[in-house]
Amino acid sequence: MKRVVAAIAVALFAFVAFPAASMAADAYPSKPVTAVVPMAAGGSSDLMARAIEKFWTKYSPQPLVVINKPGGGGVVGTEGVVRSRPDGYTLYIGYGSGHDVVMPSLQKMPYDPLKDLIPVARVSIHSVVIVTGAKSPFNSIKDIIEWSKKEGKPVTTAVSVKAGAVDIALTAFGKAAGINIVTVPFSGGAEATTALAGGHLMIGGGHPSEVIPHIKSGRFKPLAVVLPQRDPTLPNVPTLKEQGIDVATWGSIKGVAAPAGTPKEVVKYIEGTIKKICSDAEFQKTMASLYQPVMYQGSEEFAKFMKQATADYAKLIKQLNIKLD
Amino acid sequence: MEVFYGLIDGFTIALTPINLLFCFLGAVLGTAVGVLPGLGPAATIALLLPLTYTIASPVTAIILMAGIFYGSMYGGSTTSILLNLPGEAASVVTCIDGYQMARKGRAGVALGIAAIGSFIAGTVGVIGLTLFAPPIAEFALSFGPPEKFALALVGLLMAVTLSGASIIKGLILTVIGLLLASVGIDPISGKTRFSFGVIELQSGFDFVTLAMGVFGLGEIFYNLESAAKAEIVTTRVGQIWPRKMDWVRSQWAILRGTMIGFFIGIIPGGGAVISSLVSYAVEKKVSRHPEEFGKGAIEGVAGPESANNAASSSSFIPLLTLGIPGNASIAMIFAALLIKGVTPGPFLITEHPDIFWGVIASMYLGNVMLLVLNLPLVGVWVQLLRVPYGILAPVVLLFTAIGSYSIQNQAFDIYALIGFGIFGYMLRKLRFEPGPLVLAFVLGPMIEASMRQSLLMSGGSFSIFLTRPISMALIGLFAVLAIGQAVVMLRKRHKTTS
Amino acid sequence: MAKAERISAVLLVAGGVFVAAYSFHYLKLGMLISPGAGFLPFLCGISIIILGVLWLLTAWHVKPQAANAETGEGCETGEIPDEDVPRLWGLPRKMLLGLMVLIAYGWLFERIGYFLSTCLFMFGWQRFVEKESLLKTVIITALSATILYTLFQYLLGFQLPSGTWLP
Repeated sequence: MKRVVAAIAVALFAFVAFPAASMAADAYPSKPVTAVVPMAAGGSSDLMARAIEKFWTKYSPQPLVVINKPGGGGVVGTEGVVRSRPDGYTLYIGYGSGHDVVMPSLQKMPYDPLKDLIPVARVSIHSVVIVTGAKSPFNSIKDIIEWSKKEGKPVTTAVSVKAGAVDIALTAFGKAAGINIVTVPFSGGAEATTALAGGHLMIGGGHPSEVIPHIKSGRFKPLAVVLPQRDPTLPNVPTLKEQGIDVATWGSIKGVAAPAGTPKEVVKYIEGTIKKICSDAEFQKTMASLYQPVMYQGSEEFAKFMKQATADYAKLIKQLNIKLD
Repeated sequence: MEVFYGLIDGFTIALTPINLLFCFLGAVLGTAVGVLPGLGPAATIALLLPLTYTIASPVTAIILMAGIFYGSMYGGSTTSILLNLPGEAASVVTCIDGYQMARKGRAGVALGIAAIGSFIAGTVGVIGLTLFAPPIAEFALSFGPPEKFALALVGLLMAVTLSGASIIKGLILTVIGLLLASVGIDPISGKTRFSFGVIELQSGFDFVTLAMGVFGLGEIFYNLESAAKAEIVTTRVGQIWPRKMDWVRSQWAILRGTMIGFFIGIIPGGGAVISSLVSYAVEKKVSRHPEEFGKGAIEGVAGPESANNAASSSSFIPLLTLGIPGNASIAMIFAALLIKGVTPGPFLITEHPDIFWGVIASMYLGNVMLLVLNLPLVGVWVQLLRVPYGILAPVVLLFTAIGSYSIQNQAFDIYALIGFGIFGYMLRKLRFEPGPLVLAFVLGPMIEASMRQSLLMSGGSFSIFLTRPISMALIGLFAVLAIGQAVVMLRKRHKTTS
Repeated sequence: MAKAERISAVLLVAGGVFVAAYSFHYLKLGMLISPGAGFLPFLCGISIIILGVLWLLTAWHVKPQAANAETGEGCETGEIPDEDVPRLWGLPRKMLLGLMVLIAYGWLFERIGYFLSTCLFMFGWQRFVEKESLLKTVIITALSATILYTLFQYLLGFQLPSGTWLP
């Protein structure tokens, strides 16, 4: 009896072991592609990644598999991609976020986001929107400035994370306008918007995907968008520049990246697939329902754009003397 | 009475075959997820998000996800009781007395009461959700940083009651818990603390890894010391069903747990874990046999298990009425709604009453299904204890290691798990009760962040805590409880010395 | 047990000093109006020093209670007196070996992939920790590896590593 059991066990084992330890070769992609999102599941980057995941199989024979590796404000997961094998089977979605373009100007990083990663394609830009509660006395940026100058009190501002894209944008606004903005950081956009919804702070900043639901439900009033031009998801909201404040940031850029050293043909393939996805009408509809604009850019322009955005942030940080204390 | 009509509509939606099927699927999956250490409902729901694209109806998708969420609350207690392994963050407290009951051969009783308590609490929670959602949601919103600080402070005081015999040891673990929680990036200043250059420490320790290590692995290492110890766990199977006495003692615990869980669960960021801890502390305080706690008091299982289920029901309130997700799992459901083109918020009930009432109705059904699923399973789980420890222990270790790994997909977490296991083993040898460590670890970030946020909001003035009504009330409560506790301790000291 | 407690208490106080120093020096305390990153850890460090000293004082006065191996007096429920345990290099044998196998598992997990390391773990456990016969070891290893694989990879779709050392 024991022998029979042993034989069955070994047979089962062999049956499972061989496929489990099998190898992969051939043209790319010949096995599923892993996409790392270095942020918590459910956040704006994650949702965008999952939308891409869904439409990827329409244009590629192998599936895209999204995994979350949150931690360190995004650094942990991204570093994992940087150190992975540059064979095109490990990608990074969310490239261009705060920790890629803002953090290098504020602290030492374990990798260089511009050199250790290849920008493959830009998918979206999540701008920073300045909002206030519906019951707040402010109806425009001017109101905030006037109030602050008159009362001499600081303007408490809810932001997602310290030194993130939102924090930098609001701090820059404060300095440019000459008023005292106190940014109160939380552990992410959701917590910050909740606190603002409760009326505990005067104003706040967030991405369209975080704030538009509240604007629609009447809880928030949008005051300004911190972009060079208006955001397509909020066409009626004026920019800071239009309201007289010379501050514009790129918000949080969301793109796809591969580790440096990934072969050119593989990068071209991924770029092409993302392009097809971004042109897909259904995908655009899905992104619209997430309040995320589709703003595709190919690898070469995206690389230039990333350099520009990083430099712009560096300049802003230097100009306004923003530091991590 | 439109609530009544709404509910009827909801049931007609929830009782369609496809929705029933998905409700059941969600319940089963949730239970499995709750039982498996490491994988939490949030991650599972995230994995299933692509599915929402293919399921045409938003109601069905949400029913599935909601089922997973509160299903995991039922499943989490199973491994806590049987193996001292918290399958879910909210089940850690159940380990304390649940496991001791299992060691005394009363595993079936514990599992049974947990399931029944969860059912009652979950159902009452949904009733509360049905009737009182909007005003309660507004109340939840009024909890800003100062109020959270005060609440967490009260919670931390409760940690002291988990100390067991030695208050000093309890306080030591509380402080260690606070320190462990501060490892990683500090959200307020952006600085990395205590990482010593190790990149994996930048994100800090994960709660479940800590809890599984200290409770579960610590116990396994301790049992490995001697074959005789291991036998004690596995040979006492004993009764399966609760006796009348158990039921009588539990009913008030269940009721109190439900109330506690319902209210604390609404507060964004509060949630099931804190409510289970508060419930445990309350039960210990009001019990006529407080010395039994820690050794297998059934109220220590009934209360917290009810609390975490009530909390999971009430955490839907901010989502359905205000469009604000209170925790990671609900945030996923929020995302799914957005993808489906539904914006959760105050208008959800008027614009999409089918979703609102359909989901609520299926929650009633879900709780019933879970009760029906879990009660017979009690007999099955109890048989699990009969597996020889030589096989059971390594399998459990494998599960926890894999579970730990999958939280952040890094092997470092396996080492962290082992490290915490060794720590848990040492705590046992040195006669420490691990409860306060876990509570402090959970509450530490909330206390610190809320305090610093409050001070930023007030420009440095501490008066902010006392000028706002809710936080003032909670601070007052804290003071009263602290003084009360001190008086009790001094009296005890006086009694033993005189 | 009292000796172990005393040593631990001293170590704890040392730890507290380290934490307080680190917080003060590296993390900056900030002012009371605007506490910095080091504020809470510093308070914790100081508290640990104080509590550690108190613990040391209480452990000093407790007479080590040797549990009676025969009559079982002095034991808490389920505790086995220490003299009974088979030891290896001074530590309980099974626990030490089990720990080693587990650490090896963690080390191999990403390197040789989840499936192989699980097999090795189970094999190692049954053979070294439990001292099972070869036949039983193989059966248990095969069955558990298969079941776990099916459960985690097929049914639940976990992302488990396939091994960086393997081709």
